[in-house]
Amino acid sequence: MYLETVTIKVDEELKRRMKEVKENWSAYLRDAIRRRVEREERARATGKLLDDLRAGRRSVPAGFINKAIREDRESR
Amino acid sequence: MRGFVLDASVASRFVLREEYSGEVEAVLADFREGEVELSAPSIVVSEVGSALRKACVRGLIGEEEAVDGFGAFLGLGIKLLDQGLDGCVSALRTAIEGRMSFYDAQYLVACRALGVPLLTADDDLLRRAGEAGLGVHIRDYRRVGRPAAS
Repeated sequence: MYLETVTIKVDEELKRRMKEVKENWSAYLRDAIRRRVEREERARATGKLLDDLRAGRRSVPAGFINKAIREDRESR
Repeated sequence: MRGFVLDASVASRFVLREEYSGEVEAVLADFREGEVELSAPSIVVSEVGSALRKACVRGLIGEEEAVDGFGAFLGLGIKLLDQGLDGCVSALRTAIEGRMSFYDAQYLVACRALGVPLLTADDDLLRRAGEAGLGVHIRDYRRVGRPAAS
């Protein structure tokens, strides 16, 4: 996988203290950024789905979903 | 944090509004807050997509509504489980011995592998999961599924 470069700036003291911690900072920050992005995406997706449900969008009759799934599972 | 394996009967309710929408909203809200972890065998994506297609074909929802809702569902970041060769073999054994579909069995195998209950709106699957002590019906989520108040 091709990796892009992201630069962050820290003050001199923090950089010195970072050197004293045995950590792969690149991997650490990559993971922290990924988790933050995923949290944002999750919040956006849940917010949209909750708004839609509360507004009654995409309503289907009672029993529709279970029947649709059961048909697939028994016929495949 | 509590965890569940999410059956497609509940996952589809994230996108299609049906019975138990109040409970489904509670699950989504807890998931958003990081209070509950949701996993599912990767077939859940196909099953939700198929339910949306059927709703569309039957004229219950429009194509753009289906695509829009499916996009949001995919953006949730539910942990999708690749069950691997051993998991597939285990699902086949469970299906044959339990006289259920291979697809139902995949959910039960996922529950066993993760050690978490199945969250479902399907009474048949609940009964099978319940026999193994692994099932919670969505209607009971607010009573038994939610994290204890701190």
